[in-house]
Amino acid sequence: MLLLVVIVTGSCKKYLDLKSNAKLVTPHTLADIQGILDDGELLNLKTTPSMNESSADDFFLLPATFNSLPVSFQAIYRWQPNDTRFPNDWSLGYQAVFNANLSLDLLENVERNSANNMQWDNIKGSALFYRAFHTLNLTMQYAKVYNEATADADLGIVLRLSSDFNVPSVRSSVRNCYQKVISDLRAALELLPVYPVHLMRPSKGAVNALLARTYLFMGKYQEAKFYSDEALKINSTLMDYNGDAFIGALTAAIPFKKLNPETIFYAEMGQIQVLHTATRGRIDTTLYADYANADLRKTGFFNLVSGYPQYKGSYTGATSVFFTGLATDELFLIRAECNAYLGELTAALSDVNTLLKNRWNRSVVFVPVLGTNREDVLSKIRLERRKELLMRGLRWIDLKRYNREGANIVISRKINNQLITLPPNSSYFALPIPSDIIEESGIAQN
Amino acid sequence: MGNLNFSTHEKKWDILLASSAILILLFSFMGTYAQPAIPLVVKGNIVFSDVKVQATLSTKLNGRANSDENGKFSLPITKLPDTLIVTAIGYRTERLAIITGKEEFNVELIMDVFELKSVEINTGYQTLKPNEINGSVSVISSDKLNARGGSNILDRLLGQTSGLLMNIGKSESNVMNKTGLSIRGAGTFNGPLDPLIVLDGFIYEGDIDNINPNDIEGVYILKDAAAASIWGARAGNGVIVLTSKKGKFNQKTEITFSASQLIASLPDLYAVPQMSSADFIEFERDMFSRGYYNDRINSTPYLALSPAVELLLKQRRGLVSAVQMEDGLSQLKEIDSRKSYLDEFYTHALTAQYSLGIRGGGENYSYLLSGSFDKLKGGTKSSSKKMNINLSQSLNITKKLSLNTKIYFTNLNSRSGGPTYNSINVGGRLLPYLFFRDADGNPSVIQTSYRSEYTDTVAIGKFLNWKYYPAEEYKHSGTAVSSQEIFANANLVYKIFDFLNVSAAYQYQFQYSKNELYSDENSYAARNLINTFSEINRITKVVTRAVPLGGISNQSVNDLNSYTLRGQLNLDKTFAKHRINAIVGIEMRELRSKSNGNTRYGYYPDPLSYTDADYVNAYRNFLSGSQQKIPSGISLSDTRSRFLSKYANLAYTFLDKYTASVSLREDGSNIFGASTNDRFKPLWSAGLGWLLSGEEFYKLAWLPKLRLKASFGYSGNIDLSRTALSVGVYSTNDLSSLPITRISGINNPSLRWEQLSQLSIGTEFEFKGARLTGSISYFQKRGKDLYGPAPYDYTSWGGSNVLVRNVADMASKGIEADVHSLNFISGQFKWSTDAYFNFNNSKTVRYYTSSSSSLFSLVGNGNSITPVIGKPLYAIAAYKWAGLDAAGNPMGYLNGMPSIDYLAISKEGSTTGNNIVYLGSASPLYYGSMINNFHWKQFGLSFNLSYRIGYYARREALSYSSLMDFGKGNSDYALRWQKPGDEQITNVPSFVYPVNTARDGFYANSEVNVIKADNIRLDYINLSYKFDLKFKSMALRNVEIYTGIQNLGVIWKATKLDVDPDYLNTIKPVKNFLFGIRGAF
Repeated sequence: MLLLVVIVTGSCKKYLDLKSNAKLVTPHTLADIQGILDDGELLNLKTTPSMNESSADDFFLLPATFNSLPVSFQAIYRWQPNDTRFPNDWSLGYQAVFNANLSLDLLENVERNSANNMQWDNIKGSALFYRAFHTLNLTMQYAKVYNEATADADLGIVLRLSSDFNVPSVRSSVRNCYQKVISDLRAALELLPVYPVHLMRPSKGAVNALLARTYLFMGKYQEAKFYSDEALKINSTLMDYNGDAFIGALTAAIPFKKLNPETIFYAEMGQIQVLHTATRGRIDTTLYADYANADLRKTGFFNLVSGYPQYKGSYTGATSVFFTGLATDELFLIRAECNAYLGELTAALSDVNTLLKNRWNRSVVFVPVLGTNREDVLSKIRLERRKELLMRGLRWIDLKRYNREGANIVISRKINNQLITLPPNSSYFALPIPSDIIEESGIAQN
Repeated sequence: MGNLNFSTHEKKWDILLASSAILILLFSFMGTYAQPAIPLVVKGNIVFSDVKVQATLSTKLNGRANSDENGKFSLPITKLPDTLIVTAIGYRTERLAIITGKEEFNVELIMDVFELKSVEINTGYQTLKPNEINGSVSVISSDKLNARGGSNILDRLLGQTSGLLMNIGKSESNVMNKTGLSIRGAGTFNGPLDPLIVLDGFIYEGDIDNINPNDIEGVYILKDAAAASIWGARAGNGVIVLTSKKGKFNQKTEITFSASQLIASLPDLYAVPQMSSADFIEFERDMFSRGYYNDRINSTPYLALSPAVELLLKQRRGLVSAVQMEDGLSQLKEIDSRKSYLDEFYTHALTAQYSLGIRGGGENYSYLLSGSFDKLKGGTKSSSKKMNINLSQSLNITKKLSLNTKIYFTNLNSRSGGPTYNSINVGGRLLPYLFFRDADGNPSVIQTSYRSEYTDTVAIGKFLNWKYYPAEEYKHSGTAVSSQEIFANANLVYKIFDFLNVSAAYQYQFQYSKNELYSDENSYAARNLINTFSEINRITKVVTRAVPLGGISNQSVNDLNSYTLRGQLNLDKTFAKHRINAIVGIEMRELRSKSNGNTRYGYYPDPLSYTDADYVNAYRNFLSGSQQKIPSGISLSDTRSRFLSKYANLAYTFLDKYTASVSLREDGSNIFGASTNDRFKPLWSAGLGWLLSGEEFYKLAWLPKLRLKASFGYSGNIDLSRTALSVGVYSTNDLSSLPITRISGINNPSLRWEQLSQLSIGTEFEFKGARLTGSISYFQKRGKDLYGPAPYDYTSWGGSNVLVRNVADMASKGIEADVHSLNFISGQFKWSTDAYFNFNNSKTVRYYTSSSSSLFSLVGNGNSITPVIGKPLYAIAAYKWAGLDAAGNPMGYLNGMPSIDYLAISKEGSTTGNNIVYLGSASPLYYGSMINNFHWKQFGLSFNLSYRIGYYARREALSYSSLMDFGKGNSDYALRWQKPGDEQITNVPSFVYPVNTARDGFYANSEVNVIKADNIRLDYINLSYKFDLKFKSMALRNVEIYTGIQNLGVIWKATKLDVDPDYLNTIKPVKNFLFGIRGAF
């Protein structure tokens, strides 16, 4: 008996070392960590903030639709403070940030050597890119616009740089938020491959494009121009809407396929609290009127329902899911806007017309965008930007930065015959942080 | 570090085992001391109250004899004083003092009418005498198991014991919460809630439905720490030990048989507070005129509309006249979904059970072989067939070596039935006027996802029929389950000495089950999927299909494999005034569960064939236009749990009066990601017992037996999913096809084991003549460091807004009593009562925060454990009600004044909580049952009244937003506020548009919707007749026929509302009529 006991206890450590679930790992190898960053459902798909688009002015709600919505949704439409709780844009964004931070933390325990350096670098670069991408998205929704003069005092978001949940949340300044995004991206630029294995993975092209976007948001046009140029050197493909393997019939319910050649990095907008989806929202009719009849986007992007345009032009291959990744069309428009701002009007017009030619009906004579006045060209390019990039989660930040430069855009909504406006200097442009985050962390509300 | 600690564990156990071996040797020497002989003989005569049987006489000291056919006996004794013990099967044991040794004993034996005196208690590891158990154990004999019919063994335990509560309507997401039963209340918030189920000494991991109640001889419910600690870490919720029927040595061959039929009534769907069809249609008309359906009507793909809205739309488009439309609407108003469901899908459920067994035994061999067959037809025409074969054998190989084996085989085949009430929706909405057949009796079409008008024309008639016929669908699409299980064990016992044996036991369980959801080519499920992935060339009209034509078979195969290997040393020694019963053992267990699944398209069972589908590329969804992949249905899993346990149990009895018991167990398991220290958890318990009535100073003649006992012990619980390291699950991303590591939760290294301690104090008593026997116990449970989800700043990880932490402590106290009384006996008539009483109040005593208004978190339906300091685990609070205002708005209180600012009311509720009223527990504080048994000649009649007292339940209130969005209506709609003045006569708010979810939420959670749920129900009435075959020369020994009615419903309730308080929002259980026969020859 004693002998049996000794034998059994001696082998019992081994007996209990067996893995309890064949699918489980405690991530520690490079493959495990890469797997954390390839979790597209948490990092790319339906993850970027949506409340900013639901607050912006590219769409409106018909009275019957508005009235059928719950009061909490109506508050968002009215630009009123609202009691948002888990789950929300905040949780989606920070879940992605956690994956990036956990990967960076785990990577510290893996030695980089000549056999693994490619994989190691890709992981480090990817993690930094994802952290920057989601931090920027959260910053443009929850913080005031970057303003050189007040950037140190303006409250940004919570910068999370480690996976340790015991680190308390503190709001950083707007300047620190943007600086962190830029420093992460600059570091990532050295580490990532030029082209990714899959468009859900970051690449040098994606880093350049995101840097261009970041600098544009900050109003640093020189830098934005430089990085958009760098990104376009890697990929400058534009789909010709007259016919492309990735475009079906423009009249179809969903004309564009996902992962098309314009896509540099694939990401989608979250869907937790959305007012602007095709079933609810109708596109601003004056915006719709701005598309020329020969503009193929007029049929490719919209579907007229009882006379009102519904948006269907997303690069996601679905009507209710919106593309918020990085694509070449945006880069052409960033470079054009920077050139126009910097007074390089020829270069600016060349970029915007290159884009528009690919959107124009081949059988109709192309009418280019023209102009000799800097302000005029800039505002025409910004209109083209709005027309090309609607429903990509960019309008809200664009409104903020145009107003920063004195555009004085007052957006308004007509609700049950009552006109509601949002003044350009409203503090509501930094959208309310979820109530439960305020309760648990004690950080300041906007 | 880990290794070091581990080896100290080993050493400790080695020492324990070694020292116990030495002790055992010592005892065996002591036992050989001879007692000085006194040549005396006790004589006497036995008088039976009924027919004569042979009685066995013994003394505490080694004496043993049998009485002759006239009841005379003589018995040599060796020492004075001694006690004469007279036992006979079916009679109560008598104990008489032998003082001089010259007494002549006239012993009157009284029939044991209650049969509660099951002489031994089986804990699964060992069999003990009642006086060696200091813990709380309930014993349910096979007779009591037969009081209720049905094929589930757990259902039969209800009402037959104290301490067991069926949790009705509670919904916990906890791991291991399948039985819905709790023993002495919950001891955890988020840990497992199921009691551990043990069959013939081994943990049973299979499907409880596989065990046939006919094969069970007895059930032992181990309720407190002392009783359960022998089962270790998983016994925190108590243990239900099932022992199966076995053959006995020296038993004549006996053939037993039984047959029974259970017929269920139709469910009372009309008790469901369904909104009237007329009201519903008028509501739809109102919403239609407000343009509520416009988005749906105008947006492609066109989502389904209800028949009434279709009519309204036709009229708006000028396709039908106003008169035609009104005609159509009034026809629809006549329809009641409840009737449609009952007519089309429901039937009387039938359960037929048959069994046949043979058992017998010689001097060295005994056996039992039985087979049973159950055939079930479900309430919605599902079917199942179950066969059980039970073979158990005992063999004395030599005088020292014996072997017990058992094989239990189950074969189960079942098929799903039709849709249940309210399982069919139209475009996501429930309708009270669904109909499944047209006027001519042909199956009618229900639009479930898209409008028929759209799906019929969108592919210019080239696709498969896209219509859904509920009356036909379940015949073409359903789930078939086939499962086989083997539960086998062998136990080899070697007697080293008379009092010491060593046993090695091995148990093996294998359960294989195959689930197949097969939708044939005519089913809507198959047609819909094929059409969805079809394309049509508008010019050539050629249809291409990504999903092959034919049926779809989705199969999954699960197998469960477990083994246990156990080595145990058993000591049972009586010497002089001492008696020792001890075990020491070691056990290894593994449970492996594997599953895999896949879907086959273009599938035909005959001739068996299928066609490959492309799972790699995405195809356009024809209706929505989005790119989707064809679901492959491929799944794979493989989990293995291992446990290693060491245990010891010792009961020491002195003078048959004082018993001390102690048990010790250490469990280890392969928790993934855990460090070695976390894998082991030592548990212990100790108890004391005192037979007060055995003392010389004890003089209470009217209470001849009184025993006191107390026990204390620890059990624990660890959440296997919470580990020190962050754990990832491997899978593949659908879009990129890259392997991914999903982090399912953040790691919390500071998590500790939950610790549950229990103190139990009890007494067992027996009044003179055994007219009244019973036991009462008081217990206190304390749970420390319980897991709970605590809200946290999810900025650190957005996957969840709560984090599991050791957040709470709980304390519960309770009283349990069972009383068995022989009320009246006269000639051939006998009336007895078994009564069970429970009081149990479990409260939260510590919780991570008390800053916010804790009452606010109890606002709800009380169906899940909500920790609030000082309040029961399940409790209900509600908003104070200030009536309806003059516009029919529900009013609550804000700063003490009536208010309709619902957001502010909710805010006040969550901060000060002043506008919330606490109502009480949502789980009965007092519950139990009373069973009255009447016997007259061969007739038997019994009925069970069960009661649940001291708790509250919440009715589902009318919510206009649920009505609008999901069609979830309520008959209260007819009572709603409609005009000024109505606020005097109704509490149902007016309809407002746009609907206000905060207003609906306030009303649903206000005190007007909470009722006192106390009720008494008549559980069953049974009638039986035993044929008197004593003088017949037939081989039949006894035959009994019986009949009964179960679930007769509520006979008293505290609320005046016409509802069943336990089934407010669900369909209440149906009545069952039972007929059966059983016998032996």
